[in-house]
Amino acid sequence: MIVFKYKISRFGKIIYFLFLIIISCSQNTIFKVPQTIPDDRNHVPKPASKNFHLYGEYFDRQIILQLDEFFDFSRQYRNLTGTRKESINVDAFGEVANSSWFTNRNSFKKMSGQELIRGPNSGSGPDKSGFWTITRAKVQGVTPGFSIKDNKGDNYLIKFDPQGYPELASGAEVISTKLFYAMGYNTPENYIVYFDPQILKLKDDVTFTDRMGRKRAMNKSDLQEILDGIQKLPNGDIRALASKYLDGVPIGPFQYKGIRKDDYNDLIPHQHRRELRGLWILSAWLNHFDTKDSNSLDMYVTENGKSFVKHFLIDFGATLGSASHGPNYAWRGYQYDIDPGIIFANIFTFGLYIRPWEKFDGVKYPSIGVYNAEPFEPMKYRPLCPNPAFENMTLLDGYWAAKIVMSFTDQQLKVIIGEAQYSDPEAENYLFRVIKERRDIIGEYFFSRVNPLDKFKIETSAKNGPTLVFSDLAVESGLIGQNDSYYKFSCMEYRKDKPNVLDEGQMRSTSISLVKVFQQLSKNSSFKLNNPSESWIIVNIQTQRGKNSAWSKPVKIFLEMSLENNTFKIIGIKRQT
Amino acid sequence: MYLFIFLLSTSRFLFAQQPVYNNVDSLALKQIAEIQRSNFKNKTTIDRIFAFPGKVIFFPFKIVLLGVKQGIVYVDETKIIPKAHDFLRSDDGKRAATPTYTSRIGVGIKYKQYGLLNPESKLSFLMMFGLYNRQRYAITFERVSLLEKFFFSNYGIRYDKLTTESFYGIGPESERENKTNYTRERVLLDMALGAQPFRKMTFEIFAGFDLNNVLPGKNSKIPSSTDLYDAYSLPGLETNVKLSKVDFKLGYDSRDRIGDPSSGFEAVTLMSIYNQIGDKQYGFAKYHLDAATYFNLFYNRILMLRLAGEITEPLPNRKVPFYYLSELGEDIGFRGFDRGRFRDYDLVMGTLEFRYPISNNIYAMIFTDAGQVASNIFKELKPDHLQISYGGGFRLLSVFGNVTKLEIAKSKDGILVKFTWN
Repeated sequence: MIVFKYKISRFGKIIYFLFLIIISCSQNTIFKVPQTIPDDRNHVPKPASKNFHLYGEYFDRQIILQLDEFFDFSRQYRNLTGTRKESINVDAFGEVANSSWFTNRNSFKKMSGQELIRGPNSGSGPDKSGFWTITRAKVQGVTPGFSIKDNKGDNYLIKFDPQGYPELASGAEVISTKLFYAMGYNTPENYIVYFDPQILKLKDDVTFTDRMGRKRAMNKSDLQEILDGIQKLPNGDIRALASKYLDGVPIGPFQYKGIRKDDYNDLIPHQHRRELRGLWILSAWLNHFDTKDSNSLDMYVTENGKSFVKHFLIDFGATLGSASHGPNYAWRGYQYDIDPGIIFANIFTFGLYIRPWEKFDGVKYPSIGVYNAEPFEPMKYRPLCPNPAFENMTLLDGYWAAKIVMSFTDQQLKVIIGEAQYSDPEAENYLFRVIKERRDIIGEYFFSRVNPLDKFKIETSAKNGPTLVFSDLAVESGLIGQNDSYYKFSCMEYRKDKPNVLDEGQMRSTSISLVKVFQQLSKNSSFKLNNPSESWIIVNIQTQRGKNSAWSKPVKIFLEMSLENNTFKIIGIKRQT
Repeated sequence: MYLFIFLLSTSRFLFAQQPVYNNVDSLALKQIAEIQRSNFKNKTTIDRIFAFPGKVIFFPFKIVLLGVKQGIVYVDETKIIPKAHDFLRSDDGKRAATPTYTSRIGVGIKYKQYGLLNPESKLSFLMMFGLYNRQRYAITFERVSLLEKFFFSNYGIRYDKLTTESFYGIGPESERENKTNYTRERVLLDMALGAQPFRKMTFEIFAGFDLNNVLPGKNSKIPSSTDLYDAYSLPGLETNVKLSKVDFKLGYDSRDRIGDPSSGFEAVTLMSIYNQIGDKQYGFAKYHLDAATYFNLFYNRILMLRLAGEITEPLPNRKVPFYYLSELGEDIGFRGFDRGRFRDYDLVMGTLEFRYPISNNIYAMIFTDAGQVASNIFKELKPDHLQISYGGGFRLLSVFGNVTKLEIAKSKDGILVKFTWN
């Protein structure tokens, strides 16, 4: 037997240690304009379709990914030192541009009630004036269902609520669809429908895979078996969810890690996309615990004369208090399905430590299931199995997501919840209260860790001159009172050697006059306009909540000034965390 | 075309421009994408260098794990499990063949037919094989209703060939080093008449015929009992011992769940009388009590207390075959000791077990077992002879209702690991 023995020398250890220092310091550059991300909606040939393997993916995420990350020492070191790398696809303001993945919606511009109600829908659901022809059936999976073609020729997937829990899965699916759409994601058109089972007609050649894995022709008794397992309304009608087939050609789910190599628009590793990292917090809000690859779908679509891949989140039946087949398990959202950390902790505490979810009383409203605001902690939220994008999330990704969550007003939430058509007003009120409370918990968490000053703009008036105006999102969303908020700022000329302070002060308002800055710079002959990076002005703003509390870390706003035009332009923002 | 690609690859400025793909062929698109992707990589060279040792360490494991993953994907794609399930079970669920395993024999298959004479009845055929030519065949017909379902009856015939049974000696002081092995061949025919007067209580009377042969053990690594003992020094060490038996069994079961109880009480009392047919050498009575109670202390933390005792009483001028003495060991749930580790006329044992949830459907447990054998439990119960074991383990409850257990127990014999799939 050959045995290799190698002892790392002291010199080797020093080199290794130096690498650590270099890695941890490598992000400390003051400001760098990020690369422009090319639009990913260019015309590309159709990528190959991909199959998904539920158990293979589960094993991959639960075992291989975890070990891979464990042995990635640079990653471990970054995690330990809090120097995790930021998302790649963000602009100089920390925002994500519209793409085939994401479209800035409610957080960018408040959507009207009509827009929220419409969501991704292009019509009003399946046409009930004629028969619904069953074209495919699904007995496998969490819930049974089938595909129908209506009179207009539109195809829908029909999904049902579990027995004993009317409105549970369909209500959750409609609410989450509309919320995720309003957040900015691509979602399918999902409608709540009430129909008489008599309008169902079985197409002759429908094949389906039964519970035993046998592919065979579907007969009327199979249909009856599905219908027998479905809860009916007193008048014999059935309430269901109709999910319209997406336009385009399905090419399989996207993965939360890596890229689809044959999609030439797909340039950025998915785990480093802010909209996928931040999805952790958005999922935590709505308890979308089942964020596996197979609950996504890539469609090869043609829009504006270009064919490209569009990325969808699908299947929201297991969100809020629903697990699709029944109410959610109390532990969901608090631990992975197999969570080694929690398992070890539980083993060695000998059952004496009671997890907060263990104290839940059970289902209060059958149409809502298990969905609580206590003890919800956004960063402790866990999906069903580890998600590579979530595991790369930084505080700034979370802040980005929190801004989206906090962009929804109470009124907007009520409008969306109303779309679930709950028959019990108490249940509806309860759901509204929990969604609202979880929203505020997310806001409080991230807005207290990242200085939530945002929406910066320069306003120039003849009377006041140039002014930097901003919003305090914590105040705007009602988490903090304006009277409890204090701000202090300092404006500096950007110099590598010695920052030259041009102006500083404290205020209660959310605007800073730049007149003094302009005057100071006009006198300063060293201010170099020729070199763009050296004509920058940095405005540091810190926030204090209450007179005696500590000042927050600053937000740095980078301004470019033109002495000739007497104007300022915001070129970027850097948030210190 | 290539000039265009070259420019893209060398000019950072050009990366910021929106590429126009419409008039470029697929190969060019691929090359442009590859160049741009290299620009959007998250890891720096320093990161990669630093991560390299870990990658090297993990590489062989990763290869194995990826192989396992491919296996999982294959099983998922081919739907072997549901197909096998479909193959082994009828559509109406009344007939099923299931694989089975016990550490005492080995692997086998059990075929069951439900509802043959009445809905509750169950006819089953069992075949099991193991190392050293261990075998078991059995046909049982259970829960056959009689007299308007007030009574039920069970019928069974079983053949066992257990070629590596352990014998350590008789008495509480038997030593591990004295382990020998023997073959026990047994044919058992029995029938039972039972009644369930209350939902939680059953009463059964068994009558049966029991033929026993003791032969040399097949495990050549340890001595055969037949080489060290004879029928005189060890009653029962002979062939063709025919016994008749009658059992009276009273059972009470108020557990909330059968495989995974969290509360309730379970007790079995059994009185058996064995009599040799033809010869008058062997004859004895056995009195057995086994009771367990479960307490849900808080939030599914379950405490289980168990007490078991057995008395073996020879009939006047008769003897007890050694394989019918009371056995203290793994077989009756005394963990940390081999099956049949201690034998004598009587035994008493107790268990304290605490189970607590550690994950979804997974429980951890800590336990201690204590017990002893004695020739007369009322007169010779000595603290010095008390055997104690302790340990911990895990219970995994599957969605199909199976319970898988891994128990690791420490005793004076060392550490014994037991895996059970039930």
